Amino acid sequence: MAEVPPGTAPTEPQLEVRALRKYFPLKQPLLARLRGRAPEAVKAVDDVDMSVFKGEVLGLVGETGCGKSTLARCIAGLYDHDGGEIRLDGNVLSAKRATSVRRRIQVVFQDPYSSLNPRMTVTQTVGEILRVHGKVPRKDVDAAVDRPLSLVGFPTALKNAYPRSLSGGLRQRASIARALAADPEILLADEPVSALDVSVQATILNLLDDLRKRLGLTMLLITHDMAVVRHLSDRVAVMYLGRIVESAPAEELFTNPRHPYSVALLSAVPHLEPGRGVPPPAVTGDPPSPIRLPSGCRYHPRCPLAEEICKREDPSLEAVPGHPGHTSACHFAARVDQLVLQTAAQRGERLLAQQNRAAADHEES
Amino acid sequence: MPELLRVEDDVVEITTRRGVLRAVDGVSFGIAAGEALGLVGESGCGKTTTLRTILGLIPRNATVSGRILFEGEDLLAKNGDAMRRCRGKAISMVFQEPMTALNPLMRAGQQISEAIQINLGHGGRRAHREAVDMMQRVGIPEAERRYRAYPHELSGGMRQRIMIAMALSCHPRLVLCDEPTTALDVTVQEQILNILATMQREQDLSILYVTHDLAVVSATCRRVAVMYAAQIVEIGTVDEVFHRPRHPYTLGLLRSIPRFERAQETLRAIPGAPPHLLAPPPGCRFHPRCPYVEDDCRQGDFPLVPVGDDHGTACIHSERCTEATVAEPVMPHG
Amino acid sequence: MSTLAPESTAHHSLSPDLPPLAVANVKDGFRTRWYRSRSFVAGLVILGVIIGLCTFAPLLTPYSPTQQDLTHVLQPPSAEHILGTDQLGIDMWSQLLYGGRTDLRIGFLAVILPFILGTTLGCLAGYYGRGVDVGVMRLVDIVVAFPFYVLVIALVFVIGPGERGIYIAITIVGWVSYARIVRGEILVAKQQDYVLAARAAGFGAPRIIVRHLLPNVITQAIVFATADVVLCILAIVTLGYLGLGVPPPIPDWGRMIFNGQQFLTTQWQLATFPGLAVVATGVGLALLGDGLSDLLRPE
Repeated sequence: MAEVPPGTAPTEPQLEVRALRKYFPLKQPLLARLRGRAPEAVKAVDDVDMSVFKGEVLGLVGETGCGKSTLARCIAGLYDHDGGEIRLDGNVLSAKRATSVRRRIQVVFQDPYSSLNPRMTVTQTVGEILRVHGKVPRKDVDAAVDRPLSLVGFPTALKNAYPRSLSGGLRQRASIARALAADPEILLADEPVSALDVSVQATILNLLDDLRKRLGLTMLLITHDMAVVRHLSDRVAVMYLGRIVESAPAEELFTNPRHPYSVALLSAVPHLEPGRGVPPPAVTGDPPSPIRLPSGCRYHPRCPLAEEICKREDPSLEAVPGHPGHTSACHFAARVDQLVLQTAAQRGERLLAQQNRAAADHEES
Repeated sequence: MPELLRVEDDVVEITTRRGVLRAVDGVSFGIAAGEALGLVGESGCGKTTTLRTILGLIPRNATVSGRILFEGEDLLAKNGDAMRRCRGKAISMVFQEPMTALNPLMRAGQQISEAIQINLGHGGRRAHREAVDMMQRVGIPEAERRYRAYPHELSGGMRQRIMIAMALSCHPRLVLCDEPTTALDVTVQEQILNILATMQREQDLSILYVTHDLAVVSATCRRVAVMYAAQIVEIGTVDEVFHRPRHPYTLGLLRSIPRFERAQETLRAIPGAPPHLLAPPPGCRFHPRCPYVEDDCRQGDFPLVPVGDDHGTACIHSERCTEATVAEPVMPHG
Repeated sequence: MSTLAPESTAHHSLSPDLPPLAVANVKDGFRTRWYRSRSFVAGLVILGVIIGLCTFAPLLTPYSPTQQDLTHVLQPPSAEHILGTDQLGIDMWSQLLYGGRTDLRIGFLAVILPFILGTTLGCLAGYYGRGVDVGVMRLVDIVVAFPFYVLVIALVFVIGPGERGIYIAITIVGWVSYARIVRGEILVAKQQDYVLAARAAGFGAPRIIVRHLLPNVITQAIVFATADVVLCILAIVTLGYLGLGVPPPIPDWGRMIFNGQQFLTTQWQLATFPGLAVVATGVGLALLGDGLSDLLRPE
């Protein structure tokens, strides 16, 4: 499903992020300031490089505190970034951007309960976008909102309802309708289904998939739920403590991860299929705070492959040889498949990676 | 295996401004000693309320009826004091949000030793030692130092470990878990699930695990009960229920969840929405959304009937599910 | 938007999850719910009675509140004078009713100006933060440094007694509470997802503040305003008591209390009834505010 088949010359990305930084400075006690100590900051996004191609779904995964939401908000122009640049179709974007530029990137938020103004009906919420961006005159708004609403399957009988009367799934549909009303090219979905019931998630995921195909939208899907990522994404980027540590086409990442954190993340996901039990955890300890980052590679304190160089040098994202479109920020990316087998053996299971490799080997021979 | 807990015909009625609704409507199930039972369902299905009736933690405007037999005694017949003595000691609970379940003004370790002191009557120093010991067993590094920390100084995973330590400190026989890992990252969740599994083996605990995440149930429980609109619609071993579901709701749920271990395919969502408990549909509550609905589904009562060894369903046409799973297996290696 | 094929209704994975009571709830707004709050209704009734009495004063008393009758001073309650007369022979009952007009009018009007000023400054401080916030908060600090009555009295003294002085003084002192309340609410509200969505959609600050933030934060300010009216009336009454309020001969509860206190042992009704009127008004407003805060919550 990748827009860019491996091996062909890549077209220019629609959205490009280079060396992006966003730090949140912490209040410094007076004494420290007098002593001349540099203020501490939460390095939410610390030198991120990312590309999104037109029409694809890029899944951005990571755990709490990795900075994925902050990254999304910088891209959407809600935060002013501190360093690096964001380019849309080659043009640099800043947080202060024209309305005509803003409408091209729209956001769908996680919480269906706070993403709609409780004092505005759905018609008013969606209609406001139409009036500001689509220049639709006030008298035509009521009819005009029917189009985005039907696009998302929101029943027009309820369009004059207030959010409090609607279920989570319906509110999320209204949120998506609002985003689509601006006729965007890129949709940032920040945990779009995490706050919804299990059976409702399916409808919204299907909706997003459907919309993408019908409208040719580019999507940046931010989530911690691996199953959702696997279901929707063409490419996946893994974030850890403010940095992208691996990026690859979706199936490639799931079958052939090349960063120890990706391995840990993938193996931690519980499978629906019974009989697996709870294997010993792939990674110990909690993620360190984004305030005092470890030296060198930020994953080294928890990494089973860590060596001296990892404590000194911060690896940059580099291409994985033999696997186009696959990049990883690890000094020992080549050794990670050994780690995959090792983890699998420890947990007494055959990881999907192993199965697929066996299948691929079998095909080749 | 002897049954440790037996819930019989549990009904919880809540009086609201708009009428009386049954948050739990005739729920019955049993948990054997040393066994883990998962109670799954979506929000509003009554699983959390069911959990809370076992410990008597229900709101004032609710009335409970039925029997809850714990080691032979009916918990609902106990008075306030007797119930309080039971809580924390024989039956304990792990909550979903450790930040709100822990006292923010009290040191983390102290909350554990307080529980030990009150429930087991041990002296201060002994309780302290036992608390630190339990903290180490649940995998808290530098337990002695963390004992003195306040909840807000600890990470989410640590706080949940404190909660588990508190729940296990008095050697209960039954632990009630209310979505304990929902708020946690997946790697931390794995560690917590591991701790629960280990402690369950070591202390021969019974666990009632309430969650909406079927994959977690798969990993941790031997048996599962599926709830829909305040009733149990299917119950059985995880292996049976997930490989050979016998209720259309269970089947629908399994087909609608994006699965990590399988690559992309269209998700088949269940049309419609769960009913409002003030006005549940007559007959089978799932019938308005059921692809196999027939006329006799629209009225009457549908208690659980056995359809196999330790497998019960409330669906009177459950063979349709069997046909569907044979034609298209739920699990690829089923 | 690109033209699209009509949506296939058989595609049930897009079928919406309709909660059955959704349609019924659509009309469940303020207008249908107001009678359900007992505090609101009680407050409304009490205030209604008081305002009604004051409005229909000419129908309820034949006497003028300024007409002196030195032949009938300090009369106890009788058939002619329901509540008696004061030391100048003016009928108490009519003073009470017309005095109510004065105090209620000034009380309500004196709240509106601080409300507007405080809410506006609070909005700007909360939304823009940084320089604006610092500036406004320092102003707040200055005003708050003085005890309320000290400042009000000083200002009225400088400006001169009378309605104008009261409005100016109370506005200068009273905007502070509104600013703090609104600023606090805005700091929280602007982090809400729907505000972020509005910003992401490219809406300008004025639209966001007026359309999205203000309706959601103003309830707190309104509820405070109902309590503030009580405080204003008390302030006016106090000023009147101190001789700095509404000048004679305009009737005013404060001055009635001041005049009546010397006769507490003999004609206690002279001071007590105006006092009770103030209390009743206060209770009515408090109940109203309480009810309003329940009703104005969006859930």
